[in-house]
Amino acid sequence: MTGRHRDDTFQPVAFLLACALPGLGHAYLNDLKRAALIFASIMGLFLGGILIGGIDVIDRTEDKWWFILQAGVGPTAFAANAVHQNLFKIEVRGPRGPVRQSPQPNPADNPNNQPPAARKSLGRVNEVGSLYTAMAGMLNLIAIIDAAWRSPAPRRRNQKGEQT
Amino acid sequence: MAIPRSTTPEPEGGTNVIHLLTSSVSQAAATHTYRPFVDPLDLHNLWWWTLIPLALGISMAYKAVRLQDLSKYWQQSLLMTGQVVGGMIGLAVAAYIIVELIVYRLG
Repeated sequence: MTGRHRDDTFQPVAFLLACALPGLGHAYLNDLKRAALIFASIMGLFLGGILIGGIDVIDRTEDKWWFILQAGVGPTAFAANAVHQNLFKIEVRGPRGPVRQSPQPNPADNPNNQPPAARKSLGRVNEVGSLYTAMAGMLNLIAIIDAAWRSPAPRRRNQKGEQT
Repeated sequence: MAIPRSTTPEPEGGTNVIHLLTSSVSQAAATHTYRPFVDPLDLHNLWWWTLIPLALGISMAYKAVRLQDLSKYWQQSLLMTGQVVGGMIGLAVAAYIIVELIVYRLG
């Protein structure tokens, strides 16, 4: 990524922090400007996707394959999914017991005539929102790998091997 | 929510079921005000404009990791954004030529 050096060793703390929040691993390694840029770009893509497609684009049960990619953002994606599952879905009786699913737009089709808490995103808007959030997850994986195998900023060497 | 009664004359021998359902759906949609991050944006006719900020976000994240020296970060990010958008336009033109001109003439 940003140039591998012989003293680039695995940084377990940076790895865990990068998994927790985009850019936090680089911040731990004293690369604050890079950390801020990674955080802004990845969270911008993730929140931009939810803004375009609505909370419906983060759905671990109904859009499992998209969510595998979105999960790369870390706990933020799981929190968004939990909010969607618990606040915007309704419990209906399925063949294997009660399941939570997106409510129908017509309240008469839902149990207890429950109105939908959020609009279902469909078509291109849903695709674009899912794409934004999935790209955020995949780019964050690159950032996690970069944070995990790089030296802290004060110890980094330039190409001539001099201390910087 | 109670299903509103149809105001249009019902056909002989049955209830205007389709009207009942569609009026109920439209009423539900009308009472729903837009809430950011909850409801989707109405960009169904303008969705392709969202590809430009997508390209910018991808370029920003990629260059933040890739560049050793961040002094030319914004210049490099905007250059990559332009390359991605240009690539998408090029692919669209190529697809148009293949589908609308070449395949059309072959058919």
